[in-house]
Amino acid sequence: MGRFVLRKPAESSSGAILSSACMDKEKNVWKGTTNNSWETCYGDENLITLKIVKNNPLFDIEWVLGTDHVATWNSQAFRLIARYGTNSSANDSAWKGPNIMDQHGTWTDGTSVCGRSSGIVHLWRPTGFNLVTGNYIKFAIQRWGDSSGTNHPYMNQSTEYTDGTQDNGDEWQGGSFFLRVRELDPAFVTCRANQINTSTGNA
Amino acid sequence: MARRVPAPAPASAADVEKMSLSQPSGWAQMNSSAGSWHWVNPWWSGAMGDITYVTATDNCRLLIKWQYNHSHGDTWRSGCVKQMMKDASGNWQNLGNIGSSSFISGASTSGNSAFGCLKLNPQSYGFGSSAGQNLIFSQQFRPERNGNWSIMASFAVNNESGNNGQAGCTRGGWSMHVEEIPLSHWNAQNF
Repeated sequence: MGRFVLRKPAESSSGAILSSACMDKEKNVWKGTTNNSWETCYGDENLITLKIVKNNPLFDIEWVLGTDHVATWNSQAFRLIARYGTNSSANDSAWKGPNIMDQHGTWTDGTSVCGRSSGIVHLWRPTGFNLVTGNYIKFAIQRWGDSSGTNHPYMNQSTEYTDGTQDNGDEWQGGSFFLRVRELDPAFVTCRANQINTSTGNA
Repeated sequence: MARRVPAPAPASAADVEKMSLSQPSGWAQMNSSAGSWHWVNPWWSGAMGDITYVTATDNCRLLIKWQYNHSHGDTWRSGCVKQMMKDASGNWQNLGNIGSSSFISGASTSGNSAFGCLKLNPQSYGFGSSAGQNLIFSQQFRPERNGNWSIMASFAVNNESGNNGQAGCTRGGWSMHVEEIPLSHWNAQNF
């Protein structure tokens, strides 16, 4: 998950990491209901909001998402969405979908087993937003469910031998719905061939 | 899953105060009785069990990250790993649980990995707010009752033998990471 980001030497007044915030759903679980459409996880449209420190920033994004398993199989995708504005509601713009993705799929032959838990790391620099110091940007995560219709296990839970579409209690929950976003100063970040994601399309 | 190393100088946004990592040096045979929890302590000479972390700053928060890999047999494998911590009264508490599974009938393939991350406020478990709190971490694992584990943290693509992996690659298959962060990171908003 974490990425090695060097900070500026002591004589500098600023550093690579301009701000940082993380979000953890702790032991709270949630399951999606939709097929073939995006649905905001936990219904939470404000997992993290950052106040921009420096014009035209770069964001370091990392998450861990876990999904439980149902008796046959499940398949789902996840994406990051973001919205920005001039006040702390960060809602002047439409929701944007910068194509930052992850996906989970598990299969067994008729047994409820443990699910999947995986993470992503990603650098995103939405230059088209023209973000300036004092603007706000907020982040959420959406889920796309497979079209089979019975394919909606809980997130942030992993149980054995039990239907993952049930809330199976504290013992099996936590540790897999986490998001951290950090604003980086691009001057301190080197990316091979400058392949930094600059997507700014609507979600 | 790289990790950051604390820099020697302060920066505009305080980042990592201190970190600690526990990781074993290789694979393990972990086919303990399926369908029940087992402490990880007996494996790897105790490298992952009852690990003490002493907080470095007042009112700190921690990020706890852990991961594991299971090798795959010719049927299927499934299980999970629970991150544990003793509360201030010495009672073990479950912080979070991650799982993995893999299935193929009749072919030994690569297995699967799982990764977990959570925020921890020691004060939520009865600890004080000052630096110097002694936190004790361990892990429990549970092979699924039908898909019992065999070899863990041994990377191979077509066997499940007790070795150091097909490419001599067995590191990175199991770990626990503690990262102490400033209080300001705790909230979902930074303003």
